[in-house]
Amino acid sequence: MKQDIRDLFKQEDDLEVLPENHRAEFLEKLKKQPNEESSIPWVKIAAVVLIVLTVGVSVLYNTTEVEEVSPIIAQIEAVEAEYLEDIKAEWESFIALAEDDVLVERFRKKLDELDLDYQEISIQFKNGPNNIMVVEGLIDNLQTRLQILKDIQEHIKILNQNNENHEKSI
Amino acid sequence: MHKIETKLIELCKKGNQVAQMQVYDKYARAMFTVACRYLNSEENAKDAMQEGFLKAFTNIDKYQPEFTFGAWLKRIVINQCLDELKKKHLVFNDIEVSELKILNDDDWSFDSKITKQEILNAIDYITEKHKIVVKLYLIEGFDHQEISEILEIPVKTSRTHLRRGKLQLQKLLKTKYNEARY
Repeated sequence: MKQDIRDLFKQEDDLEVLPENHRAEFLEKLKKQPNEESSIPWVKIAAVVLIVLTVGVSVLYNTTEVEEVSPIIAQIEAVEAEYLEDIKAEWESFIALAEDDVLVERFRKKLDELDLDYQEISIQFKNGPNNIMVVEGLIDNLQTRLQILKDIQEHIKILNQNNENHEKSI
Repeated sequence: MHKIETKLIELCKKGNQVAQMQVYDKYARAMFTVACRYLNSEENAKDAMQEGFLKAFTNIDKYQPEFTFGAWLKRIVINQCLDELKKKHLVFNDIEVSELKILNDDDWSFDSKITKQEILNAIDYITEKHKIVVKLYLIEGFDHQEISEILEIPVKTSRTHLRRGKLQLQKLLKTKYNEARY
């Protein structure tokens, strides 16, 4: 009897066991790397990702531990508070930058709509905090708000710069 | 879960350490297993694996989602291992490409009593240069195009290494099998 031994290697392998302390060691190495960008919002988003993963894992492997969901709610609430603070700060800087009332009004409306959506998802979240899609929905919503505020400010800045250059060239 | 991985990678692109550690935790064991196939000591394998991760994070902008992240990472880790081996003056190019007889490249049928572990053990006894190509082809599942990219050798050379490696493997396993039989 013959076999094609290539087929043998298509199956999953047993994994080797990592040496102890490999993780701490890697973290050390990682920290020594030159790090160009590590602003605070990303740390927060990473925290969110952590929570999403935690929720994901608990959904996948731990469906019995439904009683232990309250820490997740608390974590989400903490992240939410930080996001809302950021959004507020961006909003204020946007109002200061924008000289166009119509534009401000348009964005106020947009944000209000997103906030309404958020309230709805929030209710879903409180009913079933283990649903990963809901958690992602919450975070996407907050990220979207923050991003549109950042984008419009960037846009205004570019416009202002172009105007200035234009005026100078005249 | 795929969406989360995409997010994690986006965060890694921003140089976020928490996300990088998440990615590390997810793939470290599999990548260590890969590295152990090429480097003899656990210590070296671990170092190459970690170095591979650092390189991956530094070059993460070059990552194309057409590959899975794991596959991309695996190539980097393998390259890291090969760099290690090259330090020990392992050269792939000094092989006469011409073969005396044409063999069927696609025939990998061996006696079905031979186990995977026996094959792995036998691979260790193949001449170093052929061994790497056999591992890349048989264990990792790369094709000759990919192997030629990884080792920076012509496809023809890769074929030759594999053919010779396979011959040695057949010989090694035949002896073993016969010894067990008689």
